[in-house]
Amino acid sequence: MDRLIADDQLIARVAAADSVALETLYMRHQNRIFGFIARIVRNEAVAEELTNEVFVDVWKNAGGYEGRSKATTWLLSIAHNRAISALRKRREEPWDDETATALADEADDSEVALQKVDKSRLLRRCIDMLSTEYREIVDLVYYHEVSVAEASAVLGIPEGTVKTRLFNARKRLSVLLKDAGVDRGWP
Amino acid sequence: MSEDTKIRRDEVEMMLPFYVTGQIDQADAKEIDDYLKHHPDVARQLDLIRAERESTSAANAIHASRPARSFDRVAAMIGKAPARPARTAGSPLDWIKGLFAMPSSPALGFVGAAAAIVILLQAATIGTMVVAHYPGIFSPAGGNGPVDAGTTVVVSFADDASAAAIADVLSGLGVKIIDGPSGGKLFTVRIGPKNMSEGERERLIAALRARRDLIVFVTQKS
Repeated sequence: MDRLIADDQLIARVAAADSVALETLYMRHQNRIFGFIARIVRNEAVAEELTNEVFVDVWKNAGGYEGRSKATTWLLSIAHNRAISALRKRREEPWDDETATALADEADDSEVALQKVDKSRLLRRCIDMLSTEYREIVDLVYYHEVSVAEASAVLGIPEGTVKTRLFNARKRLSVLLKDAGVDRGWP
Repeated sequence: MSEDTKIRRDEVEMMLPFYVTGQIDQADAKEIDDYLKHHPDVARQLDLIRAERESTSAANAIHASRPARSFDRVAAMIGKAPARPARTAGSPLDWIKGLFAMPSSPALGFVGAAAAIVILLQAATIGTMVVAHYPGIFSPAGGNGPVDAGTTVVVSFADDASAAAIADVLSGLGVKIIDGPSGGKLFTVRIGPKNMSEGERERLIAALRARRDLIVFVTQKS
């Protein structure tokens, strides 16, 4: 549906210190940003605060938005940086791709319980058990429906890494499912 | 399998999720179409990817159903007062319905009024239009206390589906929208009482899923 005022125009107004435009952006995108952050930090109270901080960042940095990426991509990239920064503080360790990859999947030992739920719920559970970086790329692509280029802009990684990270996340899903007794025949 | 063949296969497999979500350009989509026609083993992955997508949407739906928050906190953080009085937290649907009923206020001014209209239009997805024009298939869970919503599913309607067609399908199945839109596009639909039989539940979910032309996503709430 066409919007009366496009996100790009609202951001331009925010850059001119129009708080009504910021409020409109906030009402339009707060749930998307909250959900994206909450799935990373896994703490709703923290996600609420970080969501507010994202829109404060928009207020401060709207002048730097050049419209080269979609507004939602720009908002998600701010949200990604805020969430990863919060995780880094929580873990008190440097965050980079190697560290992220090395982090163990946040799996519990409930394979027996997993077998009791249906396949769809099992898959959902396994997605939630992925490491933060794998879960984030899965959410971005499947739920937020971003392209390779947009995922690259949100995460600040090369497009090739976007593709391999998602590919590896899907392979990891297969392993988790297999551990729970479901062999989906791939890879 | 030659090295070139394997590399090509890997390239296609890596792009399949974007192919399924429609986030690739037409030329790439055409190339993948052609590849899949000749490689049914790779084409079989499409079902896996669709299942992954559906489960991911279901996992995210939990957060997307959060009631909208007022702008007050952000306004305080940037040192500006919000443009209009804070709304009480509630379903986005309640808020939209409130806006329909809201008399225009000169105090809003042009910019404020325009912003309100933008929000209204943005939130008025096809499902909301169904609710607005076909109240017979809308049954608000409403109120502030706990509500027995019965057995529910989360659905997302196709962007090009007409409100009349959706209303026909939902009323024909005897199901009602009770909440939404959350996350901009997800609606909660009550399909029966809490203790409905598994067979009837499966039948209704299958009937909803069968209307892919109108309903692009159906998942049961956990």
